[in-house]
Amino acid sequence: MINKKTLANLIVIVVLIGVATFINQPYLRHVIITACIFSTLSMFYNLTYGFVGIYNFGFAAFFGIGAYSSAILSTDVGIPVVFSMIMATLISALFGFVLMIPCLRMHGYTPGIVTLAFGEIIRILIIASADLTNGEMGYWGIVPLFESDQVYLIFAMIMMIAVMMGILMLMRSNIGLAFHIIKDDQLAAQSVGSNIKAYKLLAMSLSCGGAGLVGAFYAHYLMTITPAICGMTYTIQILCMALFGGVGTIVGPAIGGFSLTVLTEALRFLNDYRLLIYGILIVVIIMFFPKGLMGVAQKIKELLESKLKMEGGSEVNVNVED
Amino acid sequence: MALQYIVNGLMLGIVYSMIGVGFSLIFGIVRVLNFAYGEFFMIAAYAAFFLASVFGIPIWMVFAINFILMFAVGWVSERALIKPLRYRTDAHGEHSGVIIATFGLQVILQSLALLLFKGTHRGADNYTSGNFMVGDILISNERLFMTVVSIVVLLCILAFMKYSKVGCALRAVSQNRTAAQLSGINVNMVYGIAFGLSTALVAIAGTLLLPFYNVYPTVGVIPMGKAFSVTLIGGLGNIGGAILAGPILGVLEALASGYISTQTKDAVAFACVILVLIAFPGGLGEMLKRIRTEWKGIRR
Repeated sequence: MINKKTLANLIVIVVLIGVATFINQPYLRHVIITACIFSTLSMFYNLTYGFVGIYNFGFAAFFGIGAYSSAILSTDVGIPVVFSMIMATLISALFGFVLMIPCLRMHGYTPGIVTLAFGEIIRILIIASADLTNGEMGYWGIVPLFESDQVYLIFAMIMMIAVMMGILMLMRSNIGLAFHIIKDDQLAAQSVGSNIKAYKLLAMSLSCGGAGLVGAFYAHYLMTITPAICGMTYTIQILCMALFGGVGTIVGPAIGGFSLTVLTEALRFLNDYRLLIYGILIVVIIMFFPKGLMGVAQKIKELLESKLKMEGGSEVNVNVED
Repeated sequence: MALQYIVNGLMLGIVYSMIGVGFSLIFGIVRVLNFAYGEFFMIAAYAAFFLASVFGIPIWMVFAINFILMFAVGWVSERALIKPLRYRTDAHGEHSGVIIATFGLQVILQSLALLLFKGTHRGADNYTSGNFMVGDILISNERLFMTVVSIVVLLCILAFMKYSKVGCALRAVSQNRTAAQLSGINVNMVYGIAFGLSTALVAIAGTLLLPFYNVYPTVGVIPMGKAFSVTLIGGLGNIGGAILAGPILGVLEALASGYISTQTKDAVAFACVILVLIAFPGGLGEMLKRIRTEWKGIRR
C-alpha cells in the first residue's frame, strides 16, 4: 500500500512536528505559528487564483468573517470553541458561495473588483456595528482554544500539512482535472461537459471556508482581532506569498507563506523600510521570476539535468531544441 | 433637504467622473487594472500641497504643472513597469502579471510617501470661499469651482479623443490593437500616452480634492474606491459610461451619508455597485449600448 516516497514524507513530517514541540522560545514559537497560518491561507488563496483562475481581491474579508464570527459565537454566545470554529468555517464558505453566484456571469477582472468591493463592505460594516464587534477598537478577550502555546504550534502545523494533503488529493481527483481545464480553456471545459459553474462555486466555497477556518484559529490564538484584518493589506500580503512561492503549484504557496513570514520577521531591524522592501520584492518577482520559487527550482533542476546529460556524452546533440 | 443632497452629490460626482474616466482609459486601451491609481492621486495631492501652500504658486499654474508632471510620471511608470510585462499574457489573454506589478507599485509608492512625509495629515486652504443661494439650495463656491474645472477638463478630453489625431489613435488601439498596428499606429507610444493621460486626469482630481480630503500617505484608498465604483457602474473601459456613473455615485453617497450615516456611505456605494453588476454585468455602458441598438431596430 504505502510506497517508499509517502513513507519518507510521513517520517519527515513526524520529525518536523516532533522537533517543533521542543521549541520553548515563545518568540520563535509565535513566528512559526504565524508562518503556518499564512502558508495555509496562501494555499487556500491559490485554490481559486492559481488553480481555477478566479480573481479574489477580497480574500482577507473571509479571513475576517471567520475570525469575527468565531469570536462572537464563542465569547458572547458561549458556544464551545470547536463548534464555533466549525460554524465560522461554514459561515465564510456560505458568504463565498453567495458572492460567487453573481460573479459567475462576469468575466475578466470584474469578479476581482466585486470581491474587492465586498471586502470593503465587510470591513466598513464591522467598524460600523460597534456594539457587536467593538468597532475600530478591536475585539478582545476571546476564549482561547488551548491552554498552552505548545498545543497551538502542533495544531497549526497539523492544520498546514492536512490542508496541503487535502489540496493535493483534491487536485489529483477528477475535480482537480476539471479545475485545470477551466483555468486553461473555459470553452473546452464546457464542450467536454464539465459543469463550470458548479466547479467554480465549489472552489470558491472551499477557499473562503478555509480562510474562515484559519481566521477562527487566528482569533482564538491571538485572542484580539481588529477590523484591519479584513483590509486590502492582508489580501496583498497573502497574494504576494502565493506568488513568491509559485502560483498554480501545490507546495509553492506554502513555502512562499512560510519563507515570507520568516523573512519579514528577520527584516524587523529595517523598521520603516520593511513595506518598501516588500513592494520592491513583489515587482522583482513578477518581473524576473513570474513562476516564483517553484519556477526557479524547476529551472535549476532542468539545468542540472541537461548538465548531467552533457557529461554523459552520448546525448550531447539532442539538447539543441532549447 | 433631499434636493440639497442631490445637488451636492452631483457637483462632487463630476469629479468622480474624472477619476473614473482616467481609470477607464487605462483599462480600455492598455487592458490593465491599475491598482497604483490611487497612489498617483496621492502624489498629485502632495505636489499640489507643496506647490500651492509652501511655495505659493498661483492655482492655475499648480494645475498646469501637476498635469504635466503627472503625465510624465505616468509615462515613466508605464515604460518601466508595464511595458516589459505587457506581452506576457495568461490563457485568457489577460495581463495578470501586470496587475500584480501595479500592486507592488502601490506598496512602494505608499511606503515611500510614508518615509518621506511621515503620517501627518496635511491640509490646504480652500481655493475659493463664500457661497450663494439658489432658491432653497446652498451652493458653495468651492464646489462650484470643482465642478466647473472638472467639466472643462472632461470636455477637453472628449474633444481630444474625438477630433485629434492622437485621440483617434487611442480609440483605434482600444478597438483592435492588431489592426491599429497594421495601419501604422505606434502602439507603444499610444500606451504611454494613455497611461500619462490617465495619471494626468487623476492629478487634476487630486489637486481639486486636496482641501476636501487633506493629504496623507494612504489617502489613495479613497479615490481608488471611487474609481472602482465609477468604472464598474459605467462598465470597464467605457468612457461614456464612466462620465454618466460619476454623478450617480455622487448622489448615492450624498443621500446615504445624509439619511443613514457618513460612516457607511462607502459601504452603500459598494453595495450599489454589486447590485448594478448583478443586473447588468457589463455596467451602464453596455445597457446604453443595448438600448441604442434596440432603438435603432424599432426605427427601422
